Amino acid sequence: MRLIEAYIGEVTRRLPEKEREDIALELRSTIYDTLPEDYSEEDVKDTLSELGSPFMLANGYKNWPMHLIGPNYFESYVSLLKLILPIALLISFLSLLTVDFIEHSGALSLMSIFWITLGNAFVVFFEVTLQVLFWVTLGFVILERTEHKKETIKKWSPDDLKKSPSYLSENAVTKKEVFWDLFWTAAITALYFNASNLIGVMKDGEMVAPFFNNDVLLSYWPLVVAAVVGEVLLAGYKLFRGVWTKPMALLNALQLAFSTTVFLLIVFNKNILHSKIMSYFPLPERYIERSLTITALIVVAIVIIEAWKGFKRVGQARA
Amino acid sequence: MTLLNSLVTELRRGTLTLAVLSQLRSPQYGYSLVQSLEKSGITIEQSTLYPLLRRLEKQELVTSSWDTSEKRPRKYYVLSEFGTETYEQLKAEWEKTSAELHSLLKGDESSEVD
Repeated sequence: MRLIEAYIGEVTRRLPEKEREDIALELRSTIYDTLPEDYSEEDVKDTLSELGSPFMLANGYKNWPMHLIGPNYFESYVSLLKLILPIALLISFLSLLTVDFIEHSGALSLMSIFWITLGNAFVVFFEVTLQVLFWVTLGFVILERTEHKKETIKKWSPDDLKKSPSYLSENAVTKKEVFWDLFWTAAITALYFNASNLIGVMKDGEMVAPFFNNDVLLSYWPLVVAAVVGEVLLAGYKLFRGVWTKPMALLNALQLAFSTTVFLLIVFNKNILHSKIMSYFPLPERYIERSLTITALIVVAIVIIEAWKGFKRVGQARA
Repeated sequence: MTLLNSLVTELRRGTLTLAVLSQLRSPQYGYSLVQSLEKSGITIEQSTLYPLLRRLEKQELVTSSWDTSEKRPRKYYVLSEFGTETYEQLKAEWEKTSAELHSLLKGDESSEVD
């Protein structure tokens, strides 16, 4: 009977392979048990609707979660999306606007440039939204599958309250700080990928001399993307944990160290500056190198302070 | 009505395991189990029962064996030793709970009378 085999197929294809055969055999014998001696197609249909949808039956056999992101992480997932999505959209809009502004300035009024950008923006918005959703979801799905078991085994005691964000309110992670972390990440990333259109010497709305050699700059993209992913994961972790802890401060410092290293690698690449830019800044090479070094030192100093702040906030928790 | 339905389902869900275990003191296959449960007035969705049986087997409360002597192979389930022990304990627990609940609900009625 084709309907019966189709039903069994629909159930078992949703099950782990090693269980399929046994369950199929059992289902088949049960179905035929239920059917009268000389059965019609109507009898088969009755029996199968008695069994219910193959999807539900298959789910009954499974003992792993049906959800991608469980209740444990769902709140953090939603808050992180709510933070990242507007930032990503805003930054992508601003970069588009700047590019269009440079392209059309002089020829068109500011308002019409704005409308052109808005018209072009929708495709980009769609793409950005998809990217954000995909990466954030992927991160949380991995987290769910690796962290879930640990959480359920742990026993809760009232002492755990002393580690909670509600108890340690003075070093709780605020949404504002996560927002700014992500905002700067997005802004710098947008600048990085649009550097040839945004950074350089412009004349009459045209980029006559980009500051950076774009090929060299963009050759670092895997490192930059890794730094961005790290930053987003860290933001998710901060939202989830809700309070500054030693491991968090350590991760924070590692993330800062990593992105700073990427930054330094790029800045100290000998070919990073565009050859044309030299003609606009007729300065001795030594001078340019020195200003790069100073910039790098300032960045490193800021980063060290930021990393230290993280540890300091943990210190307050102990006191 | 749907609220009542879901409350009733919830109330019954916990008792299903006990009902199924009680019938497995002697070997049963899927369909015979459905019938013997139905005879006692217990309706259980087949889509709940078959997965439940496999779960009980994984938990080592029941053992299963295929009988291929008849015209159709049938999978028989029966309580294991551990299953019998657990069943007796669960039964005692149920009797205690239902006695408690009984007096609780009776008390409710008499206070209404007052």
